[in-house]
Formats: sequence, structure tokens, C-alpha cells
Amino acid sequence: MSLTVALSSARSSLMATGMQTAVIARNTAGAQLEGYSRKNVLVATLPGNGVYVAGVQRAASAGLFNNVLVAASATAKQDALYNGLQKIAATTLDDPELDQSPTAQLAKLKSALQQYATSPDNATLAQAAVTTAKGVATALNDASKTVQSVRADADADMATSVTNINQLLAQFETVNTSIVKGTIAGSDISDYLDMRDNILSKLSQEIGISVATRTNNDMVIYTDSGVTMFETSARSVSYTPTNAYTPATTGNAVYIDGVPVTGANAVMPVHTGKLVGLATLRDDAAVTYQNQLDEVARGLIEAFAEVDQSGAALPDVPGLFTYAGAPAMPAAGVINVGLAAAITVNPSVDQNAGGNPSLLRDGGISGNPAYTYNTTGEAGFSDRLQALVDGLATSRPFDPSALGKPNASLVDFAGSSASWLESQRKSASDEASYNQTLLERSADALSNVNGVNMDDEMSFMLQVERTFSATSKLISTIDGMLKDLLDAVR
Amino acid sequence: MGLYGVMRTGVSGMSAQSNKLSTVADNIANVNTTGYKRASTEFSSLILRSGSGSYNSGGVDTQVRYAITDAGPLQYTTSATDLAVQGNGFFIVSSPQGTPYLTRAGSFVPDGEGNLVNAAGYYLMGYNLANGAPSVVANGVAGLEVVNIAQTALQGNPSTLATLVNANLDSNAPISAGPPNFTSKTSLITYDNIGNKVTLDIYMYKTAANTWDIEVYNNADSTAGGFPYSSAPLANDTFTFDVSATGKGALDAASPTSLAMTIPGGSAFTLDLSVMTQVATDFEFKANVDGNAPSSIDSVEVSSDGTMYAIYGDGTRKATYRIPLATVASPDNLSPEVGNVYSVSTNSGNMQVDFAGSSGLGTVKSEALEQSNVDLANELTSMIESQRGYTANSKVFQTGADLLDVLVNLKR
Repeated sequence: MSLTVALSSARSSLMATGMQTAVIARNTAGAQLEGYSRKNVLVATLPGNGVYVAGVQRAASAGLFNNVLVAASATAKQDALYNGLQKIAATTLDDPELDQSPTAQLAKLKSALQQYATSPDNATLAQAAVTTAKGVATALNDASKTVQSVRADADADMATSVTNINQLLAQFETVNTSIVKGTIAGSDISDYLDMRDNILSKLSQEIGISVATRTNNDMVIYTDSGVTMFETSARSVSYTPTNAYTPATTGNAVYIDGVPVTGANAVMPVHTGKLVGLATLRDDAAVTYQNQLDEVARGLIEAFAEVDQSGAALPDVPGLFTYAGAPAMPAAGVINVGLAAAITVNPSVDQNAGGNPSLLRDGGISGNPAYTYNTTGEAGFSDRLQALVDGLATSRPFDPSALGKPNASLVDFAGSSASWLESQRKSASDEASYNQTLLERSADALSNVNGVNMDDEMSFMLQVERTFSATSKLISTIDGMLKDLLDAVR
Repeated sequence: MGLYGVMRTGVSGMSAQSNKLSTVADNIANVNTTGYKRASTEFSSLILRSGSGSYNSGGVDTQVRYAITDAGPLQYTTSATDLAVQGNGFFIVSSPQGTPYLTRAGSFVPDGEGNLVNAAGYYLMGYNLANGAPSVVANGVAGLEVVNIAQTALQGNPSTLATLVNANLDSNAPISAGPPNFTSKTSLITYDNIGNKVTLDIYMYKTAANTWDIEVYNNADSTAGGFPYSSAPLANDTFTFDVSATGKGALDAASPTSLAMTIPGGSAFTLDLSVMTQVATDFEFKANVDGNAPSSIDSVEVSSDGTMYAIYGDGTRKATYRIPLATVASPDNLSPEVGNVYSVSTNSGNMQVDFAGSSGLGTVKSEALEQSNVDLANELTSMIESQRGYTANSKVFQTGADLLDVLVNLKR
């Protein structure tokens, strides 16, 4: 049987080199492809009959891939948080020319009041002081609006993220079933494994995940807090978006498999991923900054409040700055949610609204004569204006939960609020760039393991080509030998 | 005897060589026939008693041999129902009339009814595993039926058991106030008797240090996937953990180790929690659950022990047939029949049936075919041999005839 066996071995060699060439072609085609992993042909010897292709294997490292997933989730979280904080800061802090920040506006108000106090009979300065006061109120209103729009955007992005997660889980189910089936049937599943890894990469951008592999390559996905996301089939990820945000609005939580995973009432809170970054922004960072703005507004109303001058022990009433709850004062020392959005300048001092700016000097802005400081009507009365300027520098208690200075002057508190926002933004930015570096390094490490090296592929191709030529030569030699034999038959 | 004997001897030689040439012709014709076994001729001399002074030529007797035990090389294919035997043994096939034969030709394809039939029209025989393990009759074909890979009735398997790969309850979790304030939750998909998916929601409550209540609810009774549930838990129990130096957070000896419940519409189900721990790390719960949903057969595969599996659309696989191998005491003495099959004869001994890989039998290789064991070079040399032999014998005959002619011409 020697010649026939030789032919058969040569044929098996051709088959193996053909398969190797096909895989080199696949590798070359996939070299620049995101998420493509290098494939190898497993060639095994068949006793007495050459070689056979036992299967196609892909280069992969579960540990390194897991590092990439973790880093991607962490980066996505910090990126989402940073982008949101950046939006708030861009309109409130980062505008030195327009001086739109509440702190800058407060400083302007202080200097306008000081100027007015030096010449209290000057109606122009009075009007200028009222105009800067309106600037402060508008800055607070705008900042509050910006914060709420950032929250609304985050909410909408969360809805998109949840839709993405559900779509990815549905895709995952199809691919996972193919992999399980292929593993049992022993077919080439390496491309499906690439697809599954790709889906996991995308999923890890949205939410922090941990995965486990069961028998037959069946994969199970959990959130990084252990909530089941995929086990045999996808679990529901549900979320009801809120369209409009006011400072008092609390956004809805995301539920996975019936468990709330974001927000204050989360039982098994997820730690990383874009979804978490957005939820942190919406439920935490933006809310705290809104609280600080509300505290600034409350401080303003308190600093400009009018005290009863008639001796009748009437309660204090809001003066230059007022709000919807006037004439009652906002409760002292606690956050009045939404005050920054509602604060206005009392129209009775606004010339444009038919008011009288000099009430700022005289008192009685609320309309009750009992609160008039300048009882004699002196044009040079500056005591009240001095008191107001001092009031801006007087230390007053602020709600500690607003995370600003708990006991500080209004200007200091506004400054501490700005630096809180800045520090949050900076730490988010630092974390984001740290995680980005980690992600790049992890991706590099993974790519070193499963990436396609063109040099390797090309040199391997040369080897395969040599084997193919040698085998072809062998076949033609055997053919020649058989021909000689046939010629011998006459 | 003399000259006549010489002529008869020449005829016997020519007939022997033509036998040899016939086997060569068959061998060359079947050089690419799957499972074909080479035929060859062996000659034995027939010498007549001779005196010391004279020689009586005899003749030659032809014995045909078949190289049935000589395995052919394997050729790889892509069909799962192309089968080859590696080692000793034969597949048992039956003719359309139901007569059992042995063969090594395993290029089986399903016919219109899903019965596996080879190129020569013989049906593959196997034990049906639908009713459990087969009872093998070692010396006969009783209990064998034609292997069929047509769609069997769609049937799911209800879940009966979940085993943990690993699971941990966070030892540092705060004490829970009890339902619905759970500490951790997970869920598992199980299947009821008719293959519906039933999602089991599993809640863990840390009720005291190292003491956890575990409750299992049917997700279908939930409100938007969580509490409140419209029915009582399917199962609940209190688990305690041993945090001593010996236990290191494993389940306490006195604690239950599993939860037993009946899946709504399904079977009795055991959630085996024996490997669960409570150590200072995050919650984790990874489990394997048996059972599958009804789905159609996607493909079949044959393992090396001859078990044929049906692979269902959802990725589960189920053993459907067990293909046995048979052998005889003297395989080379089997009688060849049309279509690369062999029938048992007195010379070969009786058929012995067993599973692949046991009692000296070979293994079944799927996606491979056994090629013919004919070697072309060998056959061509044999052909030249027989041609030369035939010519030489004819020369003997002719010489005998010529001498007779001389003898006849003596008388004028």
C-alpha cells in the first residue's frame, strides 16, 4: 500500500496547508479589525496517514480581557461624570470675561453697594446697585437652570444607555447560543467568540460587568455588584425616564432583574460604567451643586432681610432679594430646595418695574413702613447700606449637607461652592485620564497576546508555501512512479 | 498420461493466472471504493504420484483470500454521519429485506425517512436510547433497530437540580430588616414540564451575624420583577455559617445545605447550596442548572464510543442511539457480499456484538471514511506477474499440443 499511502499522506498535507493558508488570509484580513483575535490551525498527526486539521483555535487571555473590561467601565463612568460637570462648570465658572459665576456677581454687588454707600444720595449708583443685584439673581437662576438641564440630559442619556444594554444583551443571547451549540458540535466557534468579546466590550462601556463561563462555553453576565444580567437568557433592564427636571425632582432608578442598581435606594448598587457616571451626576454631583446654589440664594435673602424698626417685634421679611414664599423668611440653616431658581429682586426697588431704587438705602422694600430704617428721610443716610455691605461679610450658618463651608460669609460660601465644583471636575478628570491610561495599557497587553503580527503571518505563509511546494513535488514524483509502472504493462 | 497431462497442467496454470488477474481487476476497479477489502489469490500445488522414472504433471489449485482485517487509510470528510472504525470491528447494517450484515463502509446519509443508509443501500443498525440504557445481546442482533436521525417529537426536559460553581454572601453586609429589604438577589432560569422558562428569584437576607435567610420566589408572581409577590415563596430556609478557624466561612454543620421546591408546572427541584460561603468579599452566585426548552434537532454528532447525539437548537444535546460494533472469530473468513458487506459463515465464526472501545473492538470515528486498502502499485505488479505466468502456461499448452501433433504425424 506504500504508494497509495504516500499519495494519501500528501493529500492530507495539502488539506492542512490549504486550511493554514485560509487562516493566514483570515488573520491578515482581520489584522486592522477592532476586537479580532489571531487564529491558529491545530494540526495533528494521524498515525500512518499524515496529518489532519484538529480545529481552529484563537489566541485569547481571559485575565487580560477582564482587565480591559474593568478599565473600560471605570473610564466610561468618569468620562460621563466629567462631561456633565464640565457642562455645569463651563456656564458657571469658566467664563471669566462675562463673570457669570455667582461668586463674581456677588463681588460685583458688594462693590456696587460700597460705592452707593459712599454717596447714598446718588440715584444713578442706587440704580447700578439694583442692576448688579438683578445680575446676581439672574446668575443664580441661570446656574440652576443649567444644573437641571444637565440632570435632564443625564437622564435622557441613561435611557439611551439602558436601551443599548438591552440590545446588547439580546445580541449576546444569539451569539452565546451559537457558541454553546458550536462547542458541543466541535465546530469552529472562534469568530463567534470574537463577536461575544466585542459585545462584552460594548456592554462594559455602559455598565460594570463580571462574567463567568459555565460548561460548554456558556457565559453568564453579572453586574459588578452581582445582579444577574444574563443567565441562559437576558434579564430585563428597565428604566423610566423623567422628561423635565426641577431642583425637587428625583430621577428614577435603573432596575436590573427587579433590583434597583442606581440611586439612593439601590440595594445592590453598580460601581462602574457610563450608566453609573450619569446616575452619579444626576443624583449626586448636580444635586449637591444645586443645593449649594440654593444655599447661596438663601444666604442672599437672609443678608438683605429687613428687621422690624418700629419696636413691635415683627418677624424679619425678605428685602432686596425675595422669592415666592415672601413675606415669610426661608427656614434658617437648612437647604430650601429650588430657591436659586426662584430668587428675584423685589420689583419695588426696580426702576424698570416702576419701583424706587433708593428704598435700598431707606429700607421698607417689602412695603411695610414698620421696616423703614431711614425714618427721617435723610438723603445722606448710609447706615443701612453699610449694614448691608457688612452683612455680605458676616459669617452665617449653612446646611452642612450642601458640602460648602458650614459657617462662612456669603462670599466665602459661594467661593467654597465654586472650589467644590472645580475639585469634583478635577478629580473626575484625573480619574478619567488615569483609567484611560490603564485601559490603553490593558488593551496593549491583550493585543500583544491576541493581536495579529503581520511579520509572523508573512513568515508563516512562506513556511506554508514551502510545505505546499514540497508536497506538490511529492505528488508529481509518486505520479511519475505509477506512470513508470503502467508503462511496464504492455 | 504424458502429454495430455502436460496440456491439462497448462490449462490449470492458465485458469489459476486468470483467477489472479480477476482479483487484480476487481481490486483496481475498487481502488477508490470506501470500505473495500483487497482480494488476493494463493496457489497450492497439486502434484500427482510419480514413479522414479516418469513424471506426471499435476496442476495448481487457487484459493481466494480477502484482506478484511487489513485496515485502509482514513480519509477526512465534513459529514458527521460519515463513520469509520478505527481498530477491529464492523458496523452492523441490514439490507432492505432485514438481513443483518457486517461492513466497514460507513458513508451513511439519511434517506427520505431519516434512516441512515450507506452508498450500497444498507441501513445502519443501533440501539435506541429513548427508553434508557440498551440491553446488549452479545451474540446476536436482537434489540437493534435502524438508526434514524429525523426530527423526533419536540420535547423539553424539566429542571431538577441546580449546583453552584461558586457562591459567596458578603459577610460585611448590614443586617437586613427582612422582606422586602433583601441584602442580595440573583435569579436562575429553570424549565417546567412542558419546557416553559420559569425564572426563580432568589433573595438573601442577612438576619443576624453569620445567619442568612434565603427565599426563592417565582418571578412570574412578581410586581415589575420584584416585591411584592402574589404568592408565598417556593422555598425558604435559614442558613448559618461557621466562621471559626476550621470553618473559614463555610456552611455550618448544623445548617441546611440545599433548598427543595417544586417548580410551578414543573418537577421537584433541588438548589444545592453546599459550597456556599460567607467571607469578606463581594456577593457572588454562579450556578449550573439542568433541563432544556423544547427545540428542534439542529445537527447530530457521533462520539468515539458510538453514541449518537442529537444537538438541539438551543445548544443542548441528547444521546439518541448507541451504535454497536460486531466482530467474528476469524474476520478474514467472512463471506463478501455485494456492496462491501460481509455475511457470517461457518468459517468465520459467530457474530459477537459489543460497544465500540470495549472487548477489543475499535472506536468509531465520525467525519471520516475508511478508504479501500488496495495499493495500485502492488496490483500492477501482480498484473504483470499474472500476465507473464499466463503466457508461460499457454506456451506449455502449446508445446504439449505441438508434441501431440508430431506424434499424430508419425502415422501417415
